[in-house]
Amino acid sequence: MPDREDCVPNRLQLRFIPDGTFTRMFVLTQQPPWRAIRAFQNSLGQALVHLHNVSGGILSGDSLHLAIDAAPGARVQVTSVGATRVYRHRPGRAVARLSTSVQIGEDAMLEYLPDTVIPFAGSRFSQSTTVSLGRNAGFIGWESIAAGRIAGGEEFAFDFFHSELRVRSDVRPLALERWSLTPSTGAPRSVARWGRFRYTASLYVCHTGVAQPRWLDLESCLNRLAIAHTSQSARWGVSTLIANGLVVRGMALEAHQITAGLRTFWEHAKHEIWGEPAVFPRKIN
Amino acid sequence: MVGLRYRRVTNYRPFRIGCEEVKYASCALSPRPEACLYCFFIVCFSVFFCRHRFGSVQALLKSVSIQASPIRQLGDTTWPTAGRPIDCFDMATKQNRVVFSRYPAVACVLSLPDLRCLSVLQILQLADSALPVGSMAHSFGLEALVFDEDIEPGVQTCPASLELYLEDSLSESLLLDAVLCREAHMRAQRDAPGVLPGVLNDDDAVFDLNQSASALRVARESRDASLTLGRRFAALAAALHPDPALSRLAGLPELHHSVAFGYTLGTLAIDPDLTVSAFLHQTVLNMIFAAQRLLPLGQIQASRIAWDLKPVILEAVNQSRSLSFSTVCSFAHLPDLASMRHSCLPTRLFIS
Repeated sequence: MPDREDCVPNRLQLRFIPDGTFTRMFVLTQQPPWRAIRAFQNSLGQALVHLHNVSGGILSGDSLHLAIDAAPGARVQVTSVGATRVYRHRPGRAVARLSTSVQIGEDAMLEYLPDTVIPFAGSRFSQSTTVSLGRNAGFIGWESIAAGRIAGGEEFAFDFFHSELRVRSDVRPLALERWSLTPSTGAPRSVARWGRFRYTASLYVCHTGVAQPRWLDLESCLNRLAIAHTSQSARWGVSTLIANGLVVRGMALEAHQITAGLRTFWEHAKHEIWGEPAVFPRKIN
Repeated sequence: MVGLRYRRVTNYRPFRIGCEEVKYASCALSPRPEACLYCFFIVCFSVFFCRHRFGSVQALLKSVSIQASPIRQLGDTTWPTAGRPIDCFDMATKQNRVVFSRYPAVACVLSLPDLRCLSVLQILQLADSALPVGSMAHSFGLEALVFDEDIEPGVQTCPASLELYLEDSLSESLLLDAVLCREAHMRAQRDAPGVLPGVLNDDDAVFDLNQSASALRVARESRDASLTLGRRFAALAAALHPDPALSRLAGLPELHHSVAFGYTLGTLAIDPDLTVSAFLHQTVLNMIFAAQRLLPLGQIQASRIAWDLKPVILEAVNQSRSLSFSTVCSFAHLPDLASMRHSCLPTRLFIS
């Protein structure tokens, strides 16, 4: 595992509290390079926040912490302003780190929709995301990762990529992903890992107030969609989690296939579970 | 019993002493592995022979268990007071022996080498792909990978493609199973104050392991397959080896195969490395058998793959020693995706 001797923690702590029909954002801590300017209200009354990284990406030695707390009843949508670029590792510096902690209170709902993570050649990156759901709370979150700067012909040129994702309710862990990729030692192109694709994405849809049979129905519904979206260059699959949610996974050769697929699955899942439309963050409208 | 000088063990706690005997036996290499294998092959041959003669394997196993029943009581907390073990010294061989007797008139003499052989035989049975738990009905996403031609379907290319897939799986998804298996094994053997080893606490010693395993397996079909195999394995093990810990294990509503396997063999005090090796070996063999039904893969080619993967299995076993289930990593996006897509395939041979 990477060293951490010269990591300087840079925090952004956001708290969302419902206020009538809207949700207000409070910035508790904001240290560079983080920047969250203001929250917009979208047509569903969600507080929409764009997360900025003013340094333009994640550098070696960075240790970024993001904490989001959605109070009971809050409705939040968090997104980034562009792809998360992970720059080449500089000798003598620590591995770049990004840790995200999301707390979703009772009856609250949060959508976490960041852009693709692009690990540059020679980069070393470790990210961890923890999502805790209270009673009757909802979460929709996706993550997409590129094999590198594809347009520049760079694939699996990064040194190291470690990722951990935990989603849990107040009763039990719902989903846990923990993986490390070191292309120089473990063939990423293997069928047991990434295969021939260049992008991978996961969409988690969770609601602690929805019983398992409904998730199984939604799995069948979304699987029909997955078949329709699957081609030689893109592949999609859907599966219920052990409880309170489902995961959609996609792998593709082109970035736009991932983006379009995630939006489609998000729309359908949100309509089925929450009975309301998915309002896209303003930047991609 | 002529030639044996023996004494009764005083203040004897049957389970603890029985367990330690087996622990001791399983720590060293058996001097007679060939004998064990020879016996096992004879039993296997008899099983298949008697299937036709008696109609079921159970009929044969019942007859075998008549001979083995005193041995099975090793580690049994329900051991009857009338048949306590007796610590013996064999005058002829100058070796210590343990005499197990359920009834005063019937005694089974087991030396420590015998106990080691017993461990090997137990592993061979519990890790046998023919164990009636239903593992042959699952491909864990392999069928979808073959359908999508990620595993090359050509006669010439499929053996190498399959072997590479299994080799890489042993450092990803199967390594995760190996770590879970080892952790469950360790928990079965650990001594908790006031708790006999191998007995599940009220809080359930493997509760968090199973919950984590369920969360780690995001693909429903693979998760359900692992849970089904775990339940069946535990039920069978509890039936074969009456032990309160195994009975309680079999009663768990959420139990994964790797956890059930590790915990059961831990309760039997079988060496942890052997346990993990046997689990991985069995899993790899099941995948190869599944591939034989999906690909133009001949018997010799399949056997060669299984043979060539043994060093890789040992490497995974070595890796699992230094990993814990809270830190082990597994990147298997494509196999997970294949498992998710399996339910949508137009035709299917396997449940998962």
